[in-house]
Amino acid sequence: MSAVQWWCSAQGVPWSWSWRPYPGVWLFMLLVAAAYLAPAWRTRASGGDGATWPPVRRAAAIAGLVLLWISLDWPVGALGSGYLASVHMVQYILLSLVVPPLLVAGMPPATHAALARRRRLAAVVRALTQPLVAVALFIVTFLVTHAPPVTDALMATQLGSLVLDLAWLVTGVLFWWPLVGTPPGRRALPPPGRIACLIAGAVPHTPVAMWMILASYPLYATFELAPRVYGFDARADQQVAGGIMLVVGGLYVLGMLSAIFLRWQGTGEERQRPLHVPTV
Amino acid sequence: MQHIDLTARRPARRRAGARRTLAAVATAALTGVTLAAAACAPAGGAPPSEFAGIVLPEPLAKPAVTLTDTQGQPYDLRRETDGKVTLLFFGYTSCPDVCPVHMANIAAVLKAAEPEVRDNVKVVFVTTDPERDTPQRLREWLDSFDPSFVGLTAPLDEVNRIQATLNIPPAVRQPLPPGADSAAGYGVGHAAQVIAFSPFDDLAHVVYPFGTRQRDWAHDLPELVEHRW
Repeated sequence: MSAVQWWCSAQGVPWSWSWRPYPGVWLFMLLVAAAYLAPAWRTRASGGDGATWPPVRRAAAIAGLVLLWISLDWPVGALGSGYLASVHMVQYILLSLVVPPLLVAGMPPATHAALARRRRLAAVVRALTQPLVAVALFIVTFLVTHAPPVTDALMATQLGSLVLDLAWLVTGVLFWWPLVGTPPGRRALPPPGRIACLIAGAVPHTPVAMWMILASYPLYATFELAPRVYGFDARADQQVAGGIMLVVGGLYVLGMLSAIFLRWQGTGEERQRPLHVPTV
Repeated sequence: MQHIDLTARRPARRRAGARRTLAAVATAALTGVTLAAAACAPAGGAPPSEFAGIVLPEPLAKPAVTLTDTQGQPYDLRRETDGKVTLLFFGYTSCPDVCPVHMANIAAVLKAAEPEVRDNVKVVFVTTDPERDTPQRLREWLDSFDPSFVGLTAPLDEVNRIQATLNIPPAVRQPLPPGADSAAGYGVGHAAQVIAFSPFDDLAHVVYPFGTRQRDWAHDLPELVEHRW
């Protein structure tokens, strides 16, 4: 083990509640927060209209950043990357399902505008947020990163664990962008399309969750051979992980579907309006 | 890098681009599903005559020793385990990693095994930390995995002598690994393999290092019960 561990990964040492620093996570959070918030700060400093970023969206942005940090840093990141499949699943739920819509819905208009001005980046985002592409990327990433050989290989190293976390976050943002906002250069996806995409993206969760719950033996060597945390049995831990995906993930997706549907059924100017209105 | 004009409308090029993107995504999806399918494949893909454990070039004889069990009674290893697959392991109850993982994995597989397998396998755990592993503590710890597991104690010199007959280096007291519960005081360096003795010749032909998974045990235990060397 290196002297400084930059990113959470499986280490094979007994779990301890003694805090450990992960400087790579802090650096990553600083970069993300700076890229995400800097345009808003610049606009405000130059006397721009701060009222276009309503408090509810500011709250979503802050919640997204805080949950992103929680999911990557000690103890959630450390437990999820090397000890407990159940905590690993919590990480997945946060990084793929919870943080991305918060970051998209809470995105400062100035950040959205700044992104749209960077034409090449905006073009890439526009291509990857085409709903079918975004859903396909989300599903493929989900399936590949839950295949035991891939998961075990990635979590064995800090770089691999970083790739895994980023894959969930990036494909999550691409997936959720058309559902709770409007990607740069795209028209708002109509509510039926949002509902269809969300259902399509969430469908693979069920068979994978059932596979984890019903498997006769632990599927992931990382968690099966990790030092036990309070004697928590590896198969029971895996079943809890499957249960989290099935129940928590399922209820969360159901809640988001309900929100989209209710907004769709709203009256007056709410009708057909995206959750996040782009300024460009 | 190609410049992409967001305001331009070029349906044909866009459709072609979309097709290429979809083709790439489909290829990636197929790769992912293939990987997932490979992961779902049963561990017993190997021919049934092959073991997941390491087959020894020279078999090891089951030690002819009498130790003390958790009831304080003498335990003649050869006599008590005669005719059974004997999984012999040297470890200690304060072990933070290898010992509980090995014991938990074997216990989980035996619990799910057919009776003809379960009834013909004996797990024998010899402590390498007799100072702290009292018979009561050893019993409680083993019971947390499987009450049928046998726990044996002996002076450490005796335990190390037995290990030497099995080509296992002696157990040594050492500092705790990083992150271990400091209340444990010290660690014990010990061998990490489980030695499997055949029920037919009292020889160990296969050993199982740390890293042996439940699916490996599920594959090998029926083989060990049946296999004549």
